[in-house]
Amino acid sequence: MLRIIDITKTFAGAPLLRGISLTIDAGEIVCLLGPSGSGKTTLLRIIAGLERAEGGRVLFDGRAMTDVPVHQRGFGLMFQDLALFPHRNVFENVAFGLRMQNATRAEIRARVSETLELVGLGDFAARDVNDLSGGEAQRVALARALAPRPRLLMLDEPLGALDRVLREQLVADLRAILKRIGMTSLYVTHDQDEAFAMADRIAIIHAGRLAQVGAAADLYRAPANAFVARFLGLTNLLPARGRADGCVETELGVFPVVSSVGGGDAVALIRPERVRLDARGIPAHVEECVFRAGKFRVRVLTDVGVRLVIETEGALGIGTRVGLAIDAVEVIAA
Amino acid sequence: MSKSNLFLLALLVLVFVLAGCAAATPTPAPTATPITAPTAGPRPTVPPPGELVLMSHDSFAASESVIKEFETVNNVKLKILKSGDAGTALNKAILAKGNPLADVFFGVDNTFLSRALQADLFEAYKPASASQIPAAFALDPDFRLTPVDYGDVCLNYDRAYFQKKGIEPPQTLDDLTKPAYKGLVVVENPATSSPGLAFLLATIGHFGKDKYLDFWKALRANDLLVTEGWEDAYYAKSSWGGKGGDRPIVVSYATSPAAEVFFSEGKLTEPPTGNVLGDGACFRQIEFVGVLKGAKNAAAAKKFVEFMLSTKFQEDVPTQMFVFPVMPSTKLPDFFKFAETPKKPAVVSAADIDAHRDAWIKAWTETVLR
Amino acid sequence: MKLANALFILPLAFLAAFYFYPLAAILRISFAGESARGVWELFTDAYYARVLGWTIFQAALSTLLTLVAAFPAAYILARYDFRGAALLRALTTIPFLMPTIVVATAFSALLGPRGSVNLALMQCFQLEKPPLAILNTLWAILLAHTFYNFTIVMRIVGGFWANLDPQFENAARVLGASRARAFWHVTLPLLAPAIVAAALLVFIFDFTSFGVVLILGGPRLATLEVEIYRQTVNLFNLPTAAALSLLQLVCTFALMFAYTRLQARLAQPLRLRPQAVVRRHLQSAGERIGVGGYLVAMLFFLMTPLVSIVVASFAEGLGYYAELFVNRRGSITFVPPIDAVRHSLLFAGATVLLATALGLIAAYSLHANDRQPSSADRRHSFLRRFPSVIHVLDAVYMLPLGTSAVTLGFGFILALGDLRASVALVPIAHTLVAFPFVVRSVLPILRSIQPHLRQAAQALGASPARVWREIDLPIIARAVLVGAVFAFTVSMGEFGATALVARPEMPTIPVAIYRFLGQPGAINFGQALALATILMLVSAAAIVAMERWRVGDAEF
Repeated sequence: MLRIIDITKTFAGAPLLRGISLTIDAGEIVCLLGPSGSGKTTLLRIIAGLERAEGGRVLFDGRAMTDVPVHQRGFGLMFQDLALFPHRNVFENVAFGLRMQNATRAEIRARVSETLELVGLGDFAARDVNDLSGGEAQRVALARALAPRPRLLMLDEPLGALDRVLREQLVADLRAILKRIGMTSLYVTHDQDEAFAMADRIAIIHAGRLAQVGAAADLYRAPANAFVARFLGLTNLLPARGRADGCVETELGVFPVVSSVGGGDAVALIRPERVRLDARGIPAHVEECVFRAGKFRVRVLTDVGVRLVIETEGALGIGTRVGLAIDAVEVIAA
Repeated sequence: MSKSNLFLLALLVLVFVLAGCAAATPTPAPTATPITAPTAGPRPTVPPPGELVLMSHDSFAASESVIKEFETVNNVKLKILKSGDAGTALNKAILAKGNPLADVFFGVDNTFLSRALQADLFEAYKPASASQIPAAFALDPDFRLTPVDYGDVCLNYDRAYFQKKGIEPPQTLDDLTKPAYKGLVVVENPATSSPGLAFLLATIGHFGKDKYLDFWKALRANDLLVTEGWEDAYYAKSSWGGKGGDRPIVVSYATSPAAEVFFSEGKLTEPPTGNVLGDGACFRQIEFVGVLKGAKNAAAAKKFVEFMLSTKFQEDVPTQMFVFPVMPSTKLPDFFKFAETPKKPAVVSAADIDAHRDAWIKAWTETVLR
Repeated sequence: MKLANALFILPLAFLAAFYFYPLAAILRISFAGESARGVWELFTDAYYARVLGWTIFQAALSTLLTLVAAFPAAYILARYDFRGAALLRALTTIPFLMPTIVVATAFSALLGPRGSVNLALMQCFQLEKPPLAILNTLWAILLAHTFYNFTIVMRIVGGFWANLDPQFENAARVLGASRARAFWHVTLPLLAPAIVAAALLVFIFDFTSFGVVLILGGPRLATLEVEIYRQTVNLFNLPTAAALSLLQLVCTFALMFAYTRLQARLAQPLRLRPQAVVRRHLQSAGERIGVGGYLVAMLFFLMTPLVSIVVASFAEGLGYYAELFVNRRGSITFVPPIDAVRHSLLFAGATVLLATALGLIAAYSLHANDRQPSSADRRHSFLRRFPSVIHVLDAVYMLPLGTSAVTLGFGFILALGDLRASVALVPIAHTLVAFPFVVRSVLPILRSIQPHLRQAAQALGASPARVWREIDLPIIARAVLVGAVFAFTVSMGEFGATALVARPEMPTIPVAIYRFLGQPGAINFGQALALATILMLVSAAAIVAMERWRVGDAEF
């Protein structure tokens, strides 16, 4: 449905996007995940037509969008700061896109109430947008974006300003709503949990390029490089050198390899679940111990000065001496 | 509206009322000191002995040396207050009556004479040299107001223009309504301009109260241009003044041609303009000085009235204000040879002017502007 | 917050002492005895109805034209970043302070029957008669009013626009609105408070217009202001003059009151953004051509009359300028031009300080009625509890603009005792007409600051003073600057009131210009033009300097 091909863009003289290509299928929700400043929002604005790319193409249903002005693209965009029109009430905000399509009054009324119903704000039509709570405003912005039935909905960190509990709730609602109406969506966020909960596929953007694209589970199972791994919370990464016997050599010793991707510079990824406590193992002491989701996440510092995160069933006091045994590592690109 | 709203509104009304009441006291006292008055120096309530305050209009001017001499001889310091144009200045003086802003007032002209006398602003003071003033100028027999200078409001015409076109310049008011002078005349609105009013009075004096409007009707039909003030007429609309204007006949002063020579820095040896001096085509404005009632320094004020009639001051009048001194014996400066005087200026009495000014201006406005 | 209450009284006290008290004094005198006659005349004489009708008609038309002409300038200066923008802003301000007679002369020199434009056209097309005859028509009035008030719209609307978040427009575009519709449905309504504020000021100026209407429009139909002058000065018919003054005041007040109601409805808490975020450089060729073309046309319109004055002032080389320094006739009223410049700057400086301080305080006292004031806010000021009184106040602050200089000048004579002849009256009179500009520039922005911002700062431990310093000041700085520039220009260019209260030994530049123009002769004319040129130069330099000087550390 949406195809973007080799998009490039510079910002203040420095390259911001260095050739991004991505395809989104009909009804699919794709998350663009990356740290702030990675060019996510700019890519979204280019697709929307609010900015021009310096190179590359945007195709929708095979048709080039380059010369189609913003308002004729039929895309919806939900802004990070929502940008609800402060001089119009909830109804008028949601009706705006329909009015621009010159819909009849009756159509507008029906569609607005239908859309408000969809986002769970059925009786908010007459409210002043300046009096809405954060969650309500977010839903109104979604309703406003959905009301004109866009061919593609883009959401730019729409939950950025909300608190965690509300955000988790809304992510679930949002996905349910988008899936119910089969909306093709591109969702931008810097939060991996949000991306995992939201997306059918995730595209991780790094240094102006897409580092990896895939389903959440695939990314987690096989991160393409150290950046992706680290971004997904897999932080036990050690420089590694391959050996003739198929094992790798790291600061902590030589380990067998369960999987290996690519060549060139490589790092060893040590997943916490592959580290056991073993008194005869690598000597280390506990720096931090946090309870999380039924287990304890423990950060240890080995005597040779390497920090690792491991998982344990029981709590460990800070400063406790432990020994670590590592069964195997994965090797990924640096 | 809530009770508290009413309360604050009442407070606001109170401010108005208080202001009104305070204003009602016969001698207004300052109620408020300025919150900040960055440029206000200390200003004593009573002028220290030896200060004489002269109130006048914007056009008042005199030589520094002449004033210095008066100050030295009489041991006073002259402070000049200018208060807008002639009418504004007089009206301010009338409003300040009883607690005058100044000791002596210069610049009442014969069109405002009656108003000034009726307002009972001035103390009678007959200067020693009063007998030498021609009777035609001494309009107030009681000498509450003493004439100082006079000037004629006339039509100036562009010499070069008429030479080039080979037409004779107009001689009389009646000429102006002839087809040859169609679209050539500029006059000032008598409602807003003092020469404009003077010229209207000239037409009234010449044609009479019943017929002057016929003249104006004819003039209007002959493509008359009316401006708001003298500056605009003279500099923007005349064919010689600034640039862009094309009208060779403008209501101005009979001394304007002389002033053109004076202000040409020697470039002109004879004036670019001439005057229409036919009978009744000009109106004579006479300017008066008077000692204000309630003056704090009446003695010095009287001396100043005397001084204004002295040879020294009278000789200074032509170069400083471009008007003629009233004293016939005064020696005129060289360039004043270009300042012509009409033999028979139109005459309208001061009392008549004051009684009919409003009606005449209204009638003129209806006839010419509507 | 006792201090705030006390502060809020200041502008009112100033008005009471220097406006209402003198005004009441003159009205009282005027209506003493035969009050009914003056008022009765207004209703019986159809002439006055015509005057009022004409006054409103020309003012409304002029305002509309000014809005349309200056709107693109507001947009360009708000949204684009380019070199020379500050100079451009300063240049557009200059017409506002030029004495009307000088401008009229320049217009004549350009557009008069033998003006350069007509001469050029006649030569080009071999015409017998000058083709353009707009002087002394309604067109001349509209042209002149637009010429004068262009900068008001540009600065007030532009100042507001510069901080308006472009995201709203983007949102509309994405929702399917074309550029035009996004502007019409979103940007324009959000700009409304500033547009209304600017339109109001322009309207009042056009409504009370004196010189422009008379000189350029020709005296065929007088405005109310002209009629007041005529009745006061020429006829000394104080009852009618007072009745007309009251009529003008009532009109001004009614207008202002309607406006404050309107603005209360229009005001929206907006996310105002720093200009650095909002501004951008010219990008496409089309943009460059459009913006460049408009600016060229704008400069041509605003600058040609001014340039023609400058050029004419050099007709004798530096002769006219040299002559300014020579007291050829040894006149006692001679003042060297440097002194006139010094006086003008002195008065203008005092006016800027006084008007900005009072205007800022007044704007805050008017802003006090927030949409949802917290209980803490409510305690801050007794004014906060009376929104409708505040609307009245808002209108009251504008009244000095709708009052004729003559009326007020006469009031001063009656009311101000020993202050009557004081030099301090000049900055005081200037402040009366300058401070409404500060109020009008600051208020729309003040009303648009989201209360959350202040609350956030408070929650972060900022004292009320600190909140103002950290939140309000950076956001309103630009608007305060706009107000200050207006206060400066009003003071530099003011003539009517100055002529009434200035002391002859301390003339301002406009007063000195009128002195020269009051006498016939080429040198006088030349010196007036030379002084006018100096007025432009000094003012432009001062305005550029003010633009450079920023309040607060953030460049908003």
